Amino acid sequence: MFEGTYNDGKSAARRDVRVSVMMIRLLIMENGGAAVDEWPIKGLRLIGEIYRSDQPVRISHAARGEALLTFKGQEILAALPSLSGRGGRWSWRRRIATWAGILVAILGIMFAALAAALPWAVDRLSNFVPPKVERALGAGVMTALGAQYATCRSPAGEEALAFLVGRLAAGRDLRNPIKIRVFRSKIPNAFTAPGGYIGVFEGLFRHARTPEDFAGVLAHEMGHAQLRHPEKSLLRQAGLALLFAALTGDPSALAASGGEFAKKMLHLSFTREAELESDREAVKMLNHAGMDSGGLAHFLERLQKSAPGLAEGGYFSTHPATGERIAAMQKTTRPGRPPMSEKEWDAIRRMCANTGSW
Amino acid sequence: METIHPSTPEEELPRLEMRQLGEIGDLSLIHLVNVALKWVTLSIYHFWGKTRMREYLWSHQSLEGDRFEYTGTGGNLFVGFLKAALAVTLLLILGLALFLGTKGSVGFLFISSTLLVYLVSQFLAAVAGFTARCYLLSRTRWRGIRFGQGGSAVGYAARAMGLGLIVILTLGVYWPYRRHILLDYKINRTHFGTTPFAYNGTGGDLISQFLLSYLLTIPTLGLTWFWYGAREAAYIAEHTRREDMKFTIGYTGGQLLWLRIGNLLIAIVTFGMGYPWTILRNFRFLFTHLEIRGDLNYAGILQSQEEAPRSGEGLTEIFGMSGSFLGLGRI
Repeated sequence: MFEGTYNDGKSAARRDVRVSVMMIRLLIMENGGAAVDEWPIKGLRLIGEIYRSDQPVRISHAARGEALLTFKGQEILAALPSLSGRGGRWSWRRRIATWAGILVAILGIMFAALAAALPWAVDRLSNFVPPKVERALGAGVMTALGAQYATCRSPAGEEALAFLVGRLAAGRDLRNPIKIRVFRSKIPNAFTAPGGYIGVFEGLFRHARTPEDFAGVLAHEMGHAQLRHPEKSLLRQAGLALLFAALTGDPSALAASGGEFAKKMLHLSFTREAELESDREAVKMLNHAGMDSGGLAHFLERLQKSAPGLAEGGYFSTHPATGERIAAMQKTTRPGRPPMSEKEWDAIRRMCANTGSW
Repeated sequence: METIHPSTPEEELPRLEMRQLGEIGDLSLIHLVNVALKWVTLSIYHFWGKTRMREYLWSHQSLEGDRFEYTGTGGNLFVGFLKAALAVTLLLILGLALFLGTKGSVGFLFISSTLLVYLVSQFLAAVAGFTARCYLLSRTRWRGIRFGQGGSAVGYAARAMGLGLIVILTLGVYWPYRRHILLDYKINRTHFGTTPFAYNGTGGDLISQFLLSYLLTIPTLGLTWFWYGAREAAYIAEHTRREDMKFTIGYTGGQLLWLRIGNLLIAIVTFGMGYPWTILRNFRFLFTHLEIRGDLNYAGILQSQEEAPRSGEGLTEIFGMSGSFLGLGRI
């Protein structure tokens, strides 16, 4: 006989009851002896797990809706062994220890496998992104930057740029046509966004003293575009966010990374391999066009000497050691004709002249 | 045989004891196992882990010596998540198809599609918040009697969006009005058994405090919002009723600030593993400062016949929110 209370699930009123276990059923009686209900033992459910010895035991039944039995003491658990299987502090502490060992092993293997598979998957997946989507992403980046920096426009400069791009891209199968925009800013910087968008900051014209230097930097960026580095980098970041969300078990991390997506596009960084690959592509492009292909190496060399901080830090911090790049290029560079006439180079350099001062 | 309650002065109503009896040790073990199982199952266990956590918290929450009961299941949450994920995926595909099928400059399409996605996700987030509350309440029982919330999630989200627009147009000044209209919508549709809760607060009553906080945000580095948060909590409690039950919340902005700083420090020091501790701190904080007075007429509290939602909370999982119980934050 166990003393407890009974709620019928129809009102919040409760009755003091005595419960006895009779073979396959619970007999619930009022203190006076009148029967309240009979619950088959099959279908009984313990409400919540039992963690402590002073915790009340609560029982409901699958076929009794919201009705509820509450016992102050835990003695009834001994009489209902089918219920007491759940919970118990010490038993499940042991369980954790076993789990933990297995988990660490499985996790290590899983993580290594996923990390190895990611770049492979990204390369294959990137072919399924429609060019129009890539162009839209790139246009978004350019629009965002356009709000921050004034765009330099001059028909002569734009024509000279287009002419240079046309000669460099000759005979190449580019997924997206190259679109260049010049921004007014002191930074000696150029970047490639998805969809064939290339941004050049005016500061680059000051540091690139010769047309060869400038053509080298531009060819490098076109190399990124041709090899679709920005697209792959974005996919990789999205993949990492997915992986991270899966590992931490927090789907909200994914939603948050969606918001971060736009921001990340402005700070695309490429791997060491991607930079070297782009350099090779740039030299190939210049050689194919019969132009002097030593400009990029010259530019990097001079930047390293005149502003070592600029060469290694800031924008270039994501690039591999400048010395390594120069050495790698010098084997394949060869002299050629100038990439453009002095007049064209002047037109490009003066693109921002009418856009006001810095 | 309804008992007639003579109108007694409220101070004389007995205080009802509400306590959280959960212990950090127990909850931490649950959390640890949950994190481990989530790793192995690539997150799928998330829903069952969350359910286990709630079961523990609910069954250690006592009102007048009787403990609450959480009857939700991991399966419910998982099905809800799948439904929501399906809906959001279809929506994104639709958006992409629209985007690719429309002619126009890419820049314009990018901006307009971003805006569209933003608006739709705001709407869905509001729907999510409302349905999550529905689910959580319908799975909460005390003395065998269910809580619940009626009303329409779409109706709620439409209000949230429309009023949100006014908030933007008024540079935020309309915010407390919107907040209390939405609270009004939710609380007045909340019930325990057949008896509804009632809310009669309005944004106008808090507008001067709100504006003061708003104007002093920068000079005080945002600390005014703790003060406002405490004022608002007290106001909401004061204007919420359930028959003759009366609620009072009496914490100060300083106490709220310490709670948050403490939780932040715990999160940093334990690398997020102290999450159960912060949950318990929140619960204990609320129930130390919440005073409930009333005369519970148990026989008069009857089970509602309302049909409860079958699956729950899917959208909140996607939007990174989580159900909250009495405004206790993420559980």
